[in-house]
Amino acid sequence: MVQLLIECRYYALFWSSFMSFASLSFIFVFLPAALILYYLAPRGNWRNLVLVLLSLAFFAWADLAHLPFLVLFVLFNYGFGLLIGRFLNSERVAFRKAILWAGVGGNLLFLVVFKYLGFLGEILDSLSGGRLAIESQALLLGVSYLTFSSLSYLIDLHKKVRPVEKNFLNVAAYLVMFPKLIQGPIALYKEMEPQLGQTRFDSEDLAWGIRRFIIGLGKKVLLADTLAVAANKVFSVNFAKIGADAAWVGLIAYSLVILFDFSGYTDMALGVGRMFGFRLPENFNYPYISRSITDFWRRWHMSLTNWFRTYVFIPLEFKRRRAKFLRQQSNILLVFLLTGLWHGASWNFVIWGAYFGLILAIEASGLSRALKKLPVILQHVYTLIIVVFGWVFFRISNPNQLPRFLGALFGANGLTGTQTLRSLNILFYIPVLLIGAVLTTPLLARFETLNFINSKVWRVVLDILLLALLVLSLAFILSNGFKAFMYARF
Amino acid sequence: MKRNSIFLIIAFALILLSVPVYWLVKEDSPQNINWVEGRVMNNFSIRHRGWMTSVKYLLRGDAAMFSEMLQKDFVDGAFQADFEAAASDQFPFRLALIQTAKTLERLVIRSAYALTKDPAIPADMQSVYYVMRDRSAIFERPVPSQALKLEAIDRRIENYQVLLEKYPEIDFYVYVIERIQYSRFHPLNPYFKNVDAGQFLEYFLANHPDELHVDRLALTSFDDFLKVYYHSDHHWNIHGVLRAYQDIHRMLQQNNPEISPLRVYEDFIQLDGVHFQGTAARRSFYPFDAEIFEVVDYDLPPHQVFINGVEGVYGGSEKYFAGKFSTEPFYNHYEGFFGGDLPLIEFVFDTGSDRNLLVLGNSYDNALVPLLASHYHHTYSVDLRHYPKFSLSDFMAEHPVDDVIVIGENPYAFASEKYLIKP
Repeated sequence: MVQLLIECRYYALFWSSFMSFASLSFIFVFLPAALILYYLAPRGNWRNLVLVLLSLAFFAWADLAHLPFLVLFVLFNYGFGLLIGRFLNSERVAFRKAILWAGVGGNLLFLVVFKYLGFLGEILDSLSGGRLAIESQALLLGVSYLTFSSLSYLIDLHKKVRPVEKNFLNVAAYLVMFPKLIQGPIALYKEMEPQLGQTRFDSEDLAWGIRRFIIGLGKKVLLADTLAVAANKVFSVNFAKIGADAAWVGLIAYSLVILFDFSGYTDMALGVGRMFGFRLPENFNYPYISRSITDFWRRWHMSLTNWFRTYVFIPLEFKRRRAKFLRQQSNILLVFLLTGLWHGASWNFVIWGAYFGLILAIEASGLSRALKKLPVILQHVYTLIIVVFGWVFFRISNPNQLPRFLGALFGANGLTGTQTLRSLNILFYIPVLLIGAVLTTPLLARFETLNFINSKVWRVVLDILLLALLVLSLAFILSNGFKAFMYARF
Repeated sequence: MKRNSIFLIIAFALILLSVPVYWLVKEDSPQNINWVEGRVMNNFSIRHRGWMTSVKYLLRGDAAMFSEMLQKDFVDGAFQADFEAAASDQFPFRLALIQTAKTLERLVIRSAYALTKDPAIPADMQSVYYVMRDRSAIFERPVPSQALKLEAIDRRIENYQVLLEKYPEIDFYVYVIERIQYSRFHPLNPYFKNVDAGQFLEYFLANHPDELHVDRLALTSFDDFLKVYYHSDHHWNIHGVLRAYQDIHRMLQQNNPEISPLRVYEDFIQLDGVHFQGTAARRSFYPFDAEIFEVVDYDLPPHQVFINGVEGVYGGSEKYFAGKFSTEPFYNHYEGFFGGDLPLIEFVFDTGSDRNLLVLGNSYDNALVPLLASHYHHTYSVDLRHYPKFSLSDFMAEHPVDDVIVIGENPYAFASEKYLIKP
């Protein structure tokens, strides 16, 4: 259950009581009010103050219990930033490093307490035979993103990548900015610092943001939420009862749900960010058309990969530059174990990370070169099989269930089991799967590059289509709230 | 502002602002009933436990109550969930937008089933209803056999045996209403694996105690189903009711030859203006053509009705005959005409019989019991859904009866332990 909650929160599959970007409270109350307040405020500190207050309100609506911890977290990092700045030019290198490590340690402790305590408790419990018990804390919303932002801030200051920020509002705005607060993207401090307090109203930015927000909303509501029902139906039955047909439909549906849910949310985050004048980093670049797993991780959750590359992989490579035997491979493996663990506090995420770490290490050892000699279609097939197969580890947290599902996938229960596509009521999702599959490719984006599309008339036509997509997405949000009872409940 | 974007920005702003403006100017009706969903709609009148109350406690210096309110309403997310529900329920053009979404869903469903031969396809993506391709009927999918357990049926059979032994002076009857999802005539049976298809009913018929009198509304074909049930609702229509009445009367007569003669009805009345779209159409929000609502005038002898012990009128047939009925789409005319689901209804007829009848069942009984009651002195109709552990001895202590009949579909009649009768 805890696992499910963590996963749900990470991928925002079942947001109900709190304000997701795809909720009516956000779209029709928070967003218009926030835009008006933000642009009514004078530029600079006032605007930053409004942004911080809006972000705290956004967080409080979703997770009021943890609001004081969020404020303490911001104060802690602001304080450590000043401390790092104070001794930045000190010749006592060890002392400087100690300050940085204290700051990093504080942030990691925050992450452990609010995300991994339950998992650690489970490990200790099994190691000690039940003698050691740790009470877990409820997950703090967006804790993984928050801590990675704060680590980026402290490390960038320490490395003198950016000057120390004395303005508290700038630090607070960077850390808690609501468009990226809950699900990223993970914007590095060096990318965001020049923008803080400098935003100005730009109609083109606003329009770009609106377009991107609507596209993300459509992905999330029309594709991800729809296919999530199919995937959940398959993954919640007894796997001994499903055949290869249902297992594959469920797995492909889940692969598309993960992509459209997360990339849809990122589109909305980027769109909202741009409406407020911020340029957040891209997170996805058609990952399912990758030609290798190395290519895949350059296209999937790019801001996280970028973070790990900047703050873990490159420093590791540098630190172990004299090691010759499997240095790069072991560094990759370590980074991906951490990547897996970052995604969720349970063993299946660690396995998922190790799975990709191993494949990437093998690719780095020469497989990549061999792959490039294959026909392009085979490179795509190789990548898709490995990625889709990897989602099994991501989705199934109970290790006892893994062999059963894999068995179903490869026909151990026959082509069709006793639970068929019809009895599971998922046959009708196949057209949605096909549409989803087409939309994982840049086909539509290429359509936009055609010359005639840039004419004014076509721009308006496309905007009308986008508005229709918005209305359709709203219709589906409302349809999900359609609750007709068997008998009247007045 | 560049011209390219003006249109989009203005249109987006209008959409975003018009909805909250609509919420602000719209009157909040506390009893905002939605017949389609059969519920009272959520609205923004949630201030009774909202932030206003919390602030009041804070201003009064009552930190404990403020903290409790904060925890209950905000930390636990109840206020936020209510707000989101109200935003959804009070959305302008809500039902039209939902129907748009459902239309798109049906387009996807039709395209998915285009190459299949299934005679019925899902009515929407969320519910369990299927609609015939020619839209002649909308009904539930076949019940999978794993949903029913032989052990449960055995327990029910044992339960009936115990009742028969404990009350030898009472005649016990069971009348099974064969609904399409349990029937071997469900058109989708060949397309689903391991469905009931009547096998559990056959098991009960073969194994029930000999002293228990059992009959059923037996379907003979899918066309027969269309004759005796509504096409968009799970209930039987007047033809089904009258067939059941004949069956039950015949069954009662075998033990009680003195029972008054069967009432015969041949004049069927089509109520003009009553557009019936039943539960299946309503729950899947399927634009099913309204059915003709056919009834007969029971024209029963003078009698009294006691609802939960208080004298009253059961059913709205007289109002319907006078042309007074709701014209709301999806209004439940079955309930409106025949009567609603109530825990206990007592009918008292003075037609010469001194026997009393207890009917145990559910909403199907609403249309049938008045007819059966006309052959008895006192008739008690108990809705088992209101009495999950119904005790016959407790009931008999206050209401002595001579005959007991269970009327219902599989779970009520024999297949679910939920409706075991405490002896």
